[in-house]
Amino acid sequence: VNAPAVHLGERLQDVVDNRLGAAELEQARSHLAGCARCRRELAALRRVRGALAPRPGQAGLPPALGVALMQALDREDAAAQAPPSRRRIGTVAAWGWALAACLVAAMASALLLWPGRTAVAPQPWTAAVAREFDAYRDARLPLSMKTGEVAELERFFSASDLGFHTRVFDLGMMNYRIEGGAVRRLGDRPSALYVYRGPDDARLLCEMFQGRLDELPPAPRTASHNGIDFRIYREGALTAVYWAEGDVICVLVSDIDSEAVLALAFAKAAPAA
Amino acid sequence: MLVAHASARDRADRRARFEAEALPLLPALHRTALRLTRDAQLAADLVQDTCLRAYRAFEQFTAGTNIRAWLFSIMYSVFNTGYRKARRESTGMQMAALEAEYERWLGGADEPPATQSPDAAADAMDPRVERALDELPEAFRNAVMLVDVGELSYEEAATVMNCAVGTVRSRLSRARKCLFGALLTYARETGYRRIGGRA
Repeated sequence: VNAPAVHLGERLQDVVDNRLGAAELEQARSHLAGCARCRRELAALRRVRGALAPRPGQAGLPPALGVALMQALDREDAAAQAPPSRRRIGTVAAWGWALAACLVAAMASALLLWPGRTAVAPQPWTAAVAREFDAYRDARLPLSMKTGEVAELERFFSASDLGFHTRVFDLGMMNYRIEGGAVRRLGDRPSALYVYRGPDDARLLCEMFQGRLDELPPAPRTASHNGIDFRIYREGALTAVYWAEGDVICVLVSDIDSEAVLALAFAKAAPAA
Repeated sequence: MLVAHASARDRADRRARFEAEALPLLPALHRTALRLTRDAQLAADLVQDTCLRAYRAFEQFTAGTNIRAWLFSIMYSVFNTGYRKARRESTGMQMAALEAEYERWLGGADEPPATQSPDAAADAMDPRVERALDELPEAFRNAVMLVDVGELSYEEAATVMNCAVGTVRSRLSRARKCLFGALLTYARETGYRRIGGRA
């Protein structure tokens, strides 16, 4: 056998890593067909590459790290939202704290007295949930668990150490298919968020977090079904239906017909165990 | 009020953009962080520090450019400035000896040594490969970490390592040969060798 005098050498890395165009790949294949040494080298490199590369099903981001990251980003946002005087106060020497406090008080008074310049109130959950829905509809919402299995998603939330049990609704009978979920934050609380795709490409989002209904702003509409109280809010074209299951608040959000969202909530809400 | 509202909305948009662009890359960052630190808690801290630094500087990131290379560059910077001492230093593996081992195998007829099936759920790697990787000189280890573990392209890895694409290829070539040579050595040490396809 006449082995080629020139071998592929470092170009073999391009073969291993699928970096060659059609013409180059054909040249490499042609060489490999007649060169036992390069075939042997390619097998060795692929063995190493295979031992290092992540495998399908390999563990992703640990859920606890995901929660910690969201909390850290929340803290960053809160710090950015604080008035500059409050952010810098930690660097003020102790003897100057009284003066700084006076300045803060003066600035706060100015804000209150200055028409149209009131302090930014924390976003109510209804608006925050609406933003989550918008992000989902616009494909901007990262789903750390993508699955069509309700049980798998429940296991994911169970492993996420949220501090409460997350019930994932099976809406298959209503032709809503689960797409996946993520651990999120609503204000200062971790939340379990999951999403559905329904008839005519309808989108539905469910979010759960620890809280009480009386923490919500007054609702323009309320309803009661099977002894469960519901609060219905509108945010633009969206309808958000809230109810409580023990110390967990559940909300369904969608831009489909309001009565359809309410019917889905009626169908799936359950009294606290 | 309008000013305050716009500012809050800007922050919400920034947060949403960051989550949409950066969060999908976190598993790859975390895998690489695990290999860099070899400690689950340190890896989590490294990923969190990286994300926070990236989030603070997100305004400086140009949309449409390569966020993967940007994030990995930040992670290596954070690692080099705050985590390096926590990691066991390289023992200075004899690359030449391992490359010679590889060349001997190349000239023979032995089958490649088998690698162990890792525990995917535990994010584990064949311990012999991990040990060999750990002993590679830094520049070579980084090339393997970025391309094979982090799944960056050569171009992205070149950006992170601040070198030419050809250098990435060259380092990968030598590093992979050495890793294979290390596997051969371990196989011989443990008396396991497959010759001619038979164990």
